[in-house]
Amino acid sequence: MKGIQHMDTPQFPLELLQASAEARKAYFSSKVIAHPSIVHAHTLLMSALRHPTDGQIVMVIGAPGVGKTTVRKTMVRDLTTQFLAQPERHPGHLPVAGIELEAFGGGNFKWKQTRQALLHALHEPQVDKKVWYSTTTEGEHAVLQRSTRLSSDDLGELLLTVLAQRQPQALWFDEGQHLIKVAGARGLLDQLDVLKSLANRSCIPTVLFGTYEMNVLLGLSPQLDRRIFRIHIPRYYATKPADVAAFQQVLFGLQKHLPFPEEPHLVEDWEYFFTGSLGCVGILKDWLYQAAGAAFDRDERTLTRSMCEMWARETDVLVDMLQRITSGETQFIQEHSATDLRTLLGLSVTDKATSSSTRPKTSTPKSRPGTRNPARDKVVGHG
Amino acid sequence: MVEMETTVWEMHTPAYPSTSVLYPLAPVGVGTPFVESLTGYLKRLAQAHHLKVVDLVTFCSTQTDMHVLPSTLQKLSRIDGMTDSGQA
Repeated sequence: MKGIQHMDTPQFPLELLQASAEARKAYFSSKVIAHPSIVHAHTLLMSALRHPTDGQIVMVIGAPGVGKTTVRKTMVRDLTTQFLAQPERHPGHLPVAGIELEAFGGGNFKWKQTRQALLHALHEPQVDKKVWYSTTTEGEHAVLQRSTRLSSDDLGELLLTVLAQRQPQALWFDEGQHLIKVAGARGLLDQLDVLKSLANRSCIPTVLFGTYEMNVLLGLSPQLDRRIFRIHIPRYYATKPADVAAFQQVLFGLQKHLPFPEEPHLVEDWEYFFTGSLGCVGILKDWLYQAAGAAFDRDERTLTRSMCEMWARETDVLVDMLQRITSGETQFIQEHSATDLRTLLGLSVTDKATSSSTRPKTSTPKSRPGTRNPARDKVVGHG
Repeated sequence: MVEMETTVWEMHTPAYPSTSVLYPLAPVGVGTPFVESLTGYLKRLAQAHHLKVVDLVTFCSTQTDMHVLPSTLQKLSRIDGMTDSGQA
């Protein structure tokens, strides 16, 4: 490919070439290329966590394999590093805590199990032996009572006391789309209410990572929408030159970190890899990981396109995935323009401060039939 | 020309061994004649962790090499005192 310079020195440690296939795979797997869409999401997320509003829920949303989990891991890494850098930190505090939400059998989301999992994530001892102490008054005396069988709501209260002790900087939930597995719109609203109340009462910002299936949680109530800060991680689009360049960069970075004696030439075939990954870097990396793993086993000198073809997803699967992603994207990026909002608010339609650059999609008024386009006519005397 | 500069993120999360397994509660009344007794402290610690004293001590014994005799556990359940109300 024209214009690309291949460096002769490999970016991986040379001794890896003598190492086992497992070690080479593990090395490749650990290399995460910081590409623009996840760098942007990460910066935005960390900034939102530095300046949280009361009871804020940050929703990080994107297609499967777009890099949500990477953004989550970098968030945990950064919060932990910041926590350790504090000169006098409280011995009982934790930097951050969270869980991957489960897909429960029967299709119904279960808060009790989720809360128990969260207690484990908060390093709570003896989660299955928890009791609930409560005080009642009998006459003039306060009586301490203890119940051994805890309801889901009791666990919710218990969780709040644990959070008050551990004070993590953020509470994260991955696979947030499992939250929608409840019956009816009322159920969906309840799900968000539980999260909102957790974030509100604990004063700990909550971060929800998930796919476009979480779209249904948006727009349920203005009260809840106000609390939700959305961060979109878009996939790369072949129609945008900057996206194509970013995708090629990722591919280049990955080929540099594939520990083969000969450097694979993946960037030359970027369109093939773009098609097979739908512009999602996570899908691309998993694909290369499998193909490279098989090539390491056979002690190949390099990774070629034909070796990758064996591990590519079938076209019909890709088409189906793309259709789902596109419909999710369209639903998420609602087509209401800033003009609609201004009209609804009773403002004049054109915003003088922000010129047309913020609204690239507004169509130019069509000319009447028979009117000549001025650009077609040469202007005499202005040579 | 495409600029082929890539940055690799180091994904390793540093370990933090210093977080206390139990909440570091301070004993009440230190330096005064009304300082909290060990029994009182144990009971308060168990309550803060939403555990019975027996379960808290059993947990502590699994975290260390300490072995707790069954007779000691029996005595500890007396500190727990009250009978449980089994509400759902």
